[in-house]
Amino acid sequence: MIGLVDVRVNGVRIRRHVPGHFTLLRFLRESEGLTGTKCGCEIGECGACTVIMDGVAVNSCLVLTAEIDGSEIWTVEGLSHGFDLHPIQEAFLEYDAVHCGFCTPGLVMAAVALLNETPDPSEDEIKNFIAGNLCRCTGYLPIIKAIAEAAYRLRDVPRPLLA
Amino acid sequence: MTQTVIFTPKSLSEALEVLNDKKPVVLAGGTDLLVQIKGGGIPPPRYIIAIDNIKALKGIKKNGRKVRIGALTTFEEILDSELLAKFAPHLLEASYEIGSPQIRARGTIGGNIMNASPAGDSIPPLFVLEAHLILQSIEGRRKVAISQFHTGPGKTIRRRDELLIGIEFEAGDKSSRYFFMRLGTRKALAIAKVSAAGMLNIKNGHIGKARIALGAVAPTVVYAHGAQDLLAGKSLSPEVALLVANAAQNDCHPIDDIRSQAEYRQAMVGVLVERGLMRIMNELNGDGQR
Amino acid sequence: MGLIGKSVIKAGGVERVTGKGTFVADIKLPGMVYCAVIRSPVARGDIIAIDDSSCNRVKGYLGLFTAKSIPGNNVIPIVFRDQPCFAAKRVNYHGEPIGVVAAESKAIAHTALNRIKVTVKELEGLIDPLKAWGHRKIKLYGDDNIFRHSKIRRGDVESAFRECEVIIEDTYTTPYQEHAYIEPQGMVANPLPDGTMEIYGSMQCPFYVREAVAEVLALPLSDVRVIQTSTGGGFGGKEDVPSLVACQAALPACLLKRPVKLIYERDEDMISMSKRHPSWIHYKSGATADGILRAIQAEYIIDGGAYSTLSPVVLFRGTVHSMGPYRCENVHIDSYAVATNKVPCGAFRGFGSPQILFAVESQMDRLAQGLKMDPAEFRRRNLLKTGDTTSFGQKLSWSVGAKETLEKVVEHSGWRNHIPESAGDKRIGYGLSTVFYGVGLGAGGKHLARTGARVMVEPDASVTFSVGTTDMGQGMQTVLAQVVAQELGLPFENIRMMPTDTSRVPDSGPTVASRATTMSGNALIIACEKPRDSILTEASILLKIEKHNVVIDEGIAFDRKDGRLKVTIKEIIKNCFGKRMPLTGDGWYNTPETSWDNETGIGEPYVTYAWASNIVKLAVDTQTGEVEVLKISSAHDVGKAINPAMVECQIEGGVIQGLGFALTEEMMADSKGKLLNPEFSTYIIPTASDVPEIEPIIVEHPYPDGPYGARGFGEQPLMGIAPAVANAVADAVGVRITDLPITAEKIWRALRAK
Repeated sequence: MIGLVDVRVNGVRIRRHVPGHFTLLRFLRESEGLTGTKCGCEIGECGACTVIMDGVAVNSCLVLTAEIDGSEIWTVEGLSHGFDLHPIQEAFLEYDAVHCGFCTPGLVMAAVALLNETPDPSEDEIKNFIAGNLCRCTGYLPIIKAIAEAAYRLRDVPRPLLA
Repeated sequence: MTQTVIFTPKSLSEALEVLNDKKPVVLAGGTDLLVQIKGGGIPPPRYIIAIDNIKALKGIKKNGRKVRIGALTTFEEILDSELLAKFAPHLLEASYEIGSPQIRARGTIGGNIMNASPAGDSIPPLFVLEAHLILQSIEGRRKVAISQFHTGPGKTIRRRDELLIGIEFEAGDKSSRYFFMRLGTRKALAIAKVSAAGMLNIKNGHIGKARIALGAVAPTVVYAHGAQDLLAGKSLSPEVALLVANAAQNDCHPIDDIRSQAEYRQAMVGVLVERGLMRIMNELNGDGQR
Repeated sequence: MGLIGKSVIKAGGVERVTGKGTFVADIKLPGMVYCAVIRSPVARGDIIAIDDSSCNRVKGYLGLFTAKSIPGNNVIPIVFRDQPCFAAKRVNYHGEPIGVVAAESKAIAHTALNRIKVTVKELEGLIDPLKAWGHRKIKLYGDDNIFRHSKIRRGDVESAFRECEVIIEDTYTTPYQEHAYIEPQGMVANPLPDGTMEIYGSMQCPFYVREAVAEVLALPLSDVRVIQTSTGGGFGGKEDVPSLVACQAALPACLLKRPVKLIYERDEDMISMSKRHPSWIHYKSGATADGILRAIQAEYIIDGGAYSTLSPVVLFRGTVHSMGPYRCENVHIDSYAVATNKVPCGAFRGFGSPQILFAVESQMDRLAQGLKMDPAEFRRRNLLKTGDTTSFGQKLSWSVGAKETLEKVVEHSGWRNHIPESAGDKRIGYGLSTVFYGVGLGAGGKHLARTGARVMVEPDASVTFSVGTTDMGQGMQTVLAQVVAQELGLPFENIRMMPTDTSRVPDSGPTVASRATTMSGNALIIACEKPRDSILTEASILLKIEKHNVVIDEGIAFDRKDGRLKVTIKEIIKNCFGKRMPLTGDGWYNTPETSWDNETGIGEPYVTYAWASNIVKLAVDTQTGEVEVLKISSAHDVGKAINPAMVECQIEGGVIQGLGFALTEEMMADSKGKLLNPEFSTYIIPTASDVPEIEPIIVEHPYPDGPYGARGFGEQPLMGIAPAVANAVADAVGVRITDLPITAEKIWRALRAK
């Protein structure tokens, strides 16, 4: 059942005919070629597919394109501009929070959503906010440190952190 | 789901028409339904109605003593609600334990109720509030007590042309105290092994009305009747808490499953109820009351 | 020493953090089609028919491919050759692949999959390894369903036990642990017009994949090229099974002459892919009053599943590690890998040693308790040191840092001062473990213990290098680039590791057994010799000094005696190219000899060993049995930390994975061999909110044959956590859990039984 989807993705308006039963994840990866958002389980348990939709972090595998009309969506591709990394991405690299990299895009977007809502999170707040993003490589500690550092660097930047 | 027809009504009346006509499966936040379809637990439905955008189903309001929560209120919105923090703090405690931030951003209280899992975290808190569910169809509206709504795992008495539009309860007063306790396999993204919610009306140290509801230890959430009866008229003390906790263990019939075994669940009912009651007691002592 | 020991920022990080790294699911090729795997619905049975007639009406359906379609041999070669690519007649585990369907899109492939009618005559299967052993009627492997039996016979355990003051004897069991890499398995097979086949995919061992695809498609090895894509975690779970996945994609690709993509669903992956072997261990050990370990007798049984795959080697490693990092003169071990009608088990961080070490380290604490001795002191008296001979007769001539790791964790964790603490219903406990790990493939894989490398310096002084081992997130790209940068005196930023590609270097063996740093590092040092020599020679000419006085570092060549006399290496390289001097190099590294007698357990099974100690501090809720881990101190002797920050990260990641094994992870099978919890919702791995304070500690006792003294250790951080947790629980509440995972329920039951 094809429907017309009219959304903004990474600041750009997109109007496309897409089957309504496609998940947002599939729409992004297949229809838009934005393969930065990853698929780890497709049942909302791993967070690898996390994107920001209308200001909140969601599992894009559990949103249907039939539901996104008029929405504003941000993916990891929207964070950096050319060779300039977002401060959150820089912090991830500096703190060795990126190992195999598969959970990274989802985590980075979760971090953006967290820092939009809570500019100065405690360690516990960070841990609880990324509890929906599974990582099997790092043991989470470098990620928590990276987000804390990013929060510090972004403390004076106006919200929301995305254009 | 390539053959599934998805309706996206913009208004409640439009939605009710579709429900009457097609008897579709209702999609709210998707955090239960889409998982079940993917996992094969539910075959791809012929019709789905996505109600996400219907504004009439959103919002938390208080009118006199009645508090109403729109069925499409997400758990994140519950956590942000000052109204609910005041009149249903235990519902916030339960909401905080659900899933993950991504799940809470999309998952709705209506969806949690309709999913009808005996482990559904929002249900015990609503039980102790003696909440009513508001169901509407093109034929009209009816209210059902939450304790009458579920008939078994995944089963409710909703008619296929009805939509759950809201949850209503009567706000307590200064004498109302609440708790919510839960055991999961890990701290986040974990279905409850056992949960317990409680509400006590305490005046001058005496318990008037008491409600205790238990989750994940029966085919539906249940009241701990024996425990409730014991509490009424008593003063709250560690001895009473223990007595009541032991009684609560007899009020449930847990099963073995991949998460936990019956004997353990039953014992944990006692532990959670005792801890919940003790917490209320400590709060009262802290407030200078007894 | 320049770049060695420096925590440089990782290579490859920018691609990954921007989502631009290419994982196999991101690949799109013109004309690409999709396939889906048909699987056995029963644990054991005979295939009567696979009927795809109702698929022919499905638009975009491209066909069914089974064992009958295979041009070459229907076998996935691993150690033995008992595993078929597709089951032809007999199926031996629930989820076993019996064919694939191909279609124009993933949705159509799955529609076709749902319409395929598979008729199987179900037969009685063997699910419990203890019952499968020597089963009289059902033969899964050989006459007794034993893939392999390994032994150690040393000394005289009978008399030794008679001397012992304390003897502890008990049974320990551990479950399936699932790797749960976040990127599911996947492959893209791309047939080229010239009849050759390219395979792209998520994997640890491109050469294994090449061998399997060549065998199944009846192609010479030179006609199969395997390229590793960015791999989203492996941990051993992408060691042997990618060969199976690759063949599942390559077969339709070869026959349809179109690129084929296959990405596993998560539950499919968890059901059908390898896991850590479940184990059953009966362990008896004894010590004399002076605190010396005198005798060990153990039976170690691992559940290999339906095919042997890596079980013989897993068993070998488990057997070598079965006495722990201690001196013991009397050791009698019998270990068995048993065949059952369940998913074949394989490699997982630790490879057969975490299970037996759970028993070993639990026993050590219990012996200490029996002797009324501090567990740290008991271990101190028995830990191997440099110059000692192991229970299998190997003299450890160098770099045994075991004791230092023990002293470091004791010092850092507050162990010495710990007194019973409690807060309300919670009791605090501390638990210790000491482990060791034979680095590299050892005698069990000696024919594979070689690696190639190639280095190419470009005219602009940037460098590309290739090795046969892979980066799966552990940071191989970075560490090896540091080695090359160090050897050539160039800045780290201009050194790039090429994607691991079987056409670039000779067969270099697998990326397993924590071997990559040592093997590829050494091979690269050899490969750098020629270009390094050219650079030094040209530098000596330009600076007009003797070659042995030239120092190269971070892009500059200067006179050892006068730092002001210098020239840039960039200029040197430009000159070299002008003079047609060689600036490429090939390296080939073989490990020193190893040996092992499977009947006696005598030999020198590994070239070197890594050593580690862990102390876990946790709180037990005496009412619910729940465990909250508060702090873990984990010290590792890695020889030399080429990149210290990355070593600490490996420790943290491995410790958390070990915590999962200890507390929550358990893949369960029902009585018919069907796995019950193959999803992230029901297979419980740690999340960020479960993470305790972790204190990683690096110890360095250089390994003379390692690059700059380094030896691998990536598996070790996981290995000692489960017994340390069990020991801490015993310390906190006095109950001993011998069955993993250590759940709240088990603790609760044990407390009630007290």
